[in-house]
Amino acid sequence: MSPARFVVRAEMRGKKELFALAAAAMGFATAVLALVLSLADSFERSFADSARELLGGDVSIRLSQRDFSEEEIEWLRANSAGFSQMRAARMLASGKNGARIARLKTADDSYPLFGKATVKGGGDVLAVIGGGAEDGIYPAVVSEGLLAQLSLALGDVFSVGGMTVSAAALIATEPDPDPTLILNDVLVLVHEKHFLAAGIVRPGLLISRYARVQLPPETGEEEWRARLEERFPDGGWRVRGINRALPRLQNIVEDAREFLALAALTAMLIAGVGIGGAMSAFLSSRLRAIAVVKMLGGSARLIRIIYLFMAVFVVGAGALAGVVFGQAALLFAAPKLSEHLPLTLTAIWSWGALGKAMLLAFLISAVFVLPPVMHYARANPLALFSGGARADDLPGLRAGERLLVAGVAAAAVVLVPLEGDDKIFVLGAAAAAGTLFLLSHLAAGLAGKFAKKAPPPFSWGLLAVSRNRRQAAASAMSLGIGLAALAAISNVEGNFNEVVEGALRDEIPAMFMIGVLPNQVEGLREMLSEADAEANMRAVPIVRGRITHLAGKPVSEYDPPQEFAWILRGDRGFTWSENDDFVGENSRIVEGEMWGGDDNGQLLASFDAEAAEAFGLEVGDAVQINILGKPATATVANLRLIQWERFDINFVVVLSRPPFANVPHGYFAAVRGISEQAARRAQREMGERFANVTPIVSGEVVDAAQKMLAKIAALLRAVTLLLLSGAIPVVIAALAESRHRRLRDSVAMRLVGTPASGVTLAALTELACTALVCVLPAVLFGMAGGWFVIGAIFDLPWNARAGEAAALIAQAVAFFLVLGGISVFRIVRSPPYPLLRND
Amino acid sequence: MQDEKLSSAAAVAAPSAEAEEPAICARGVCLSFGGGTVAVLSDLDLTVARGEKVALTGPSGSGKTSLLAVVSGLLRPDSGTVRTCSLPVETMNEDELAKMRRDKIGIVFQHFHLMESMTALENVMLPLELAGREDAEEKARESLSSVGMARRVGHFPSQLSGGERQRVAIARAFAPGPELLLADEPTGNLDFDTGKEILDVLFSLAEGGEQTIFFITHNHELLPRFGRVCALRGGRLETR
Ligand SMILES: Nc1ncnc2c1ncn2[C@@H]1O[C@H](COP(=O)(O)OP(=O)(O)O)[C@@H](O)[C@H]1O
Ligand SMILES: [Mg+2]
Repeated sequence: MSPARFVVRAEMRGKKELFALAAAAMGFATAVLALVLSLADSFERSFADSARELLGGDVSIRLSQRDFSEEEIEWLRANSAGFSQMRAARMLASGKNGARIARLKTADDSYPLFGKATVKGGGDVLAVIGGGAEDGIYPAVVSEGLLAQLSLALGDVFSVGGMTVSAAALIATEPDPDPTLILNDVLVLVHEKHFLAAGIVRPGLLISRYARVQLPPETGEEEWRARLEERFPDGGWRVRGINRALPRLQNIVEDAREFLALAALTAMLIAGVGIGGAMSAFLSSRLRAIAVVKMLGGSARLIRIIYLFMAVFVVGAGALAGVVFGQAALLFAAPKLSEHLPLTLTAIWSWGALGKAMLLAFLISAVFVLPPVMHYARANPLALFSGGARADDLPGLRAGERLLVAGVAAAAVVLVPLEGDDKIFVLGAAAAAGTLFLLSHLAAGLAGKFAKKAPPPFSWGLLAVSRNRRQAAASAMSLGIGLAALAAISNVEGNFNEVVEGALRDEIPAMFMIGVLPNQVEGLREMLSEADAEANMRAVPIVRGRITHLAGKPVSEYDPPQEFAWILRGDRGFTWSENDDFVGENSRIVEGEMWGGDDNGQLLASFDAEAAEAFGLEVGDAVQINILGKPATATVANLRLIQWERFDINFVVVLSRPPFANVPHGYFAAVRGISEQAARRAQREMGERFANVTPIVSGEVVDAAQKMLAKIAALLRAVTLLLLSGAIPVVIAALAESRHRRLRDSVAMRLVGTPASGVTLAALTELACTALVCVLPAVLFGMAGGWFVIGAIFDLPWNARAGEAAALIAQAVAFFLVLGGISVFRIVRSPPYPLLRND
Repeated sequence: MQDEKLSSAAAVAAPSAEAEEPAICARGVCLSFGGGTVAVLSDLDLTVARGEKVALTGPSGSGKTSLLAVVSGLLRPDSGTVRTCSLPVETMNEDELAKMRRDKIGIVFQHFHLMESMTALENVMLPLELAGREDAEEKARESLSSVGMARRVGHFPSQLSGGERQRVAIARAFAPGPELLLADEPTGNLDFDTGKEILDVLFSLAEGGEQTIFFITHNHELLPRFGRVCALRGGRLETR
């Protein structure tokens, strides 16, 4: 047996509860990280496996507002192994019991190119919707959600966008779900021939046309897309390949992965602090043993090997259990998640993800375990001649040792499974933890200053706090991240709700209407003023298209910051106005001038000032847009600084007149001055009189947003509570590290005749004060975070919400007192004799 | 690690002279604490021949422990040369000193300093294990029975009395067969009778003249057992 193993075997007999706790915390964090990473990998694999089904083809081409031309369709057919067309639109579905926005989708006879579209009870979708129409009623396949929302039953007749359909069957599998995922559960699927026969397609309606192709054999996607681009350079469409089959969900998965990985890493950080604390507490109790081994001829290196081996054992056990648990959770969760997803999620064994989680657990633990091990390995056997050894006498770490720790930390950061930008958050979390450490250290030092002014039992407690600053600060660091997050979440949520309840509900127009046809504007205005005399409707023309060139440069050559990228990415609405309708309180011209009447028919544009700055666009530059396949070029006449958060109708680009004569367009309208009830009544009436119009009642949207916000806050809280539960071992470790000292102090106090109450009081003072020192800076930190989000990022009025913060502080302090109080109680009751006997 | 040879510094020591060289040879040793404010040893000379049994006395605070620490390489003197077991202590690094203690020196303390996590047997095995000895357990059992602790091998220090703990500590010091045994008031924490018993044990082990013993004690009744008694006063040694 090697000497190291001989010593380790004996040392493992000691108390391991603390290690077990810390290892459990690390194991838990590892489990979460392993789960998150391998879940993301499983998603990626599952996406890849069913990408063609989800997309509806190898390549999907989308057009808005115009149909594919004969020429285009001919080319697409000729250049593919399979071809299918589909239309999708959001339209009002109204039945005898109510009206709802539905997702209307049409399928042709080749639908679907990949996968199977089936109805409940068996059978093919096409077999149902391809049947004949009776008395102008067309067969439709619908989703359960739609029937529920309209209170209809299978077989009932309702209208969607002016087309009368019967709910002929329920959808069982839809291989190509709504790419936005928003209206997935309100499907109305009809056959293309019926949709066209119903005659509801009119210019100005918002309908997306999709052409899906199966690539010819031996043809790569890149190559094919290049050929398409070459043949139809002005197609004005958006092309998606299989790597972006379901971009919305893929983005959600990616964002969730980043967020949850960040949370798991923070939990690891906290667990690391815990393991470091447990190791420190353990080594301080092993100081004499270390000195003895060194006295007998063991080297400092042997000491390091002994205790690092123990750490590896403990962390390894925790991390291994974590990885196993994480993978088990994945295997269990994947089928459950699949039920709620538009694809089958297959759990894979992602060894890379599991290995990474495990490696990070080791590296992060090493960062916190190495310093105490290297520190205590310095124990000097000289101290054995006089009673024992004290940790305070040990010299600090050498430069080389600090470098090693920094190196391990750097390796951990490099390995961190986050996108480059998001790694900043890890550093941010570490910096926040460091700041909390320093703040608490300072606060604990202040407690010492107060000690001189306080009467005896309290002063002892206060003195103890300042003498044990390091432990208090360690607790503050790990508890603090979670507490600060909790405080910030409450603060942000509370402030948001205040804004939503106050300003938002008052300021936002009561109703928006999309897809209004030019000849319907006046009718709608009339109908609304009948519903509520105060109604004030503003309707603006809207045409959909996309920006193709800015200042002569194709938009594909721009790489703007994310917040502006959407403007260049695909279809957007353009409006026009011959006068200054779009200039006002919330939309000021900051550069250039408003157009007058004498522009010689030149097409001018007014551009969003902030976006213009991001693109480097200036007054006088050309903006080329493509509308319905036709290019039009406008000159930027002015830049407007728009306050989007005021909810007035506004557009990034406003033109001085229609881009060309007789451009088919619709209207977008906002209604103010009517109550929510009136808006709902109007919505129902529209289902009958203006079936093609899509009305959105703001109150419903705000309710939904509020619910969403509450859900997000609840999710964040749950994650934070997990973080906090990981911090408990750290606090216990810190309390344990000082327990031995407190025990000796209490024995000494009792020997000189202090009553038990005095001992208890001193200990409780120390605890309460330690708790405050840990909790207060963290909560203030969290409130500052809340201000940053609300005030600085969202530019909304911020409220400190001090009551909430105080309640959080009280809860955290109480938690501390309960945790530490148990040990105080045990100390006060323990008989002093055995302690005195064991030197 | 256990097979590593002693340091290069040790190898430099003249092997031919080794037989005659004393176990401890200190010349002109000066030692002070607090950056020179507390002078403890001043220009001290000490020679202890191989096999010699020397007692060191002196008032509390006179520097006896400090001298022992210097001899065992746990404390570096401000100046002077120290050769312990033929090794140039003042030029050796920490690891070399550790190996010297492991292979050549046994130390017995006033406060026993057993490993609480180890049984009596394991405590005695520890230095043997550190030296990589194959026969660690056998040797340790022998050593424990020679101090009369054969029946307590499986007990932990907390289950032993002070005298018993010190017996284990002595067994630990003797088990590797050190050339030099250092003791710092090993009876100081024990009552008189127990102290005497412990000394009997110690001397019976050291019988035969092989082992060099350098022994700090306050107890004048013990002094007749030693071949020579030194007293530390004013930082220097006086031989009686
Ligand atoms: N680490 C130290 N720092 C400062 N002074 C010390 C230290 N160790 C010992 N001393 C001082 O050196 C003197 C000798 O101590 P020591 O060798 O323990 O004496 P003895 O063993 O004879 O009682 C004492 O005055 C003691 O206070
Ligand atoms: Mg002494």
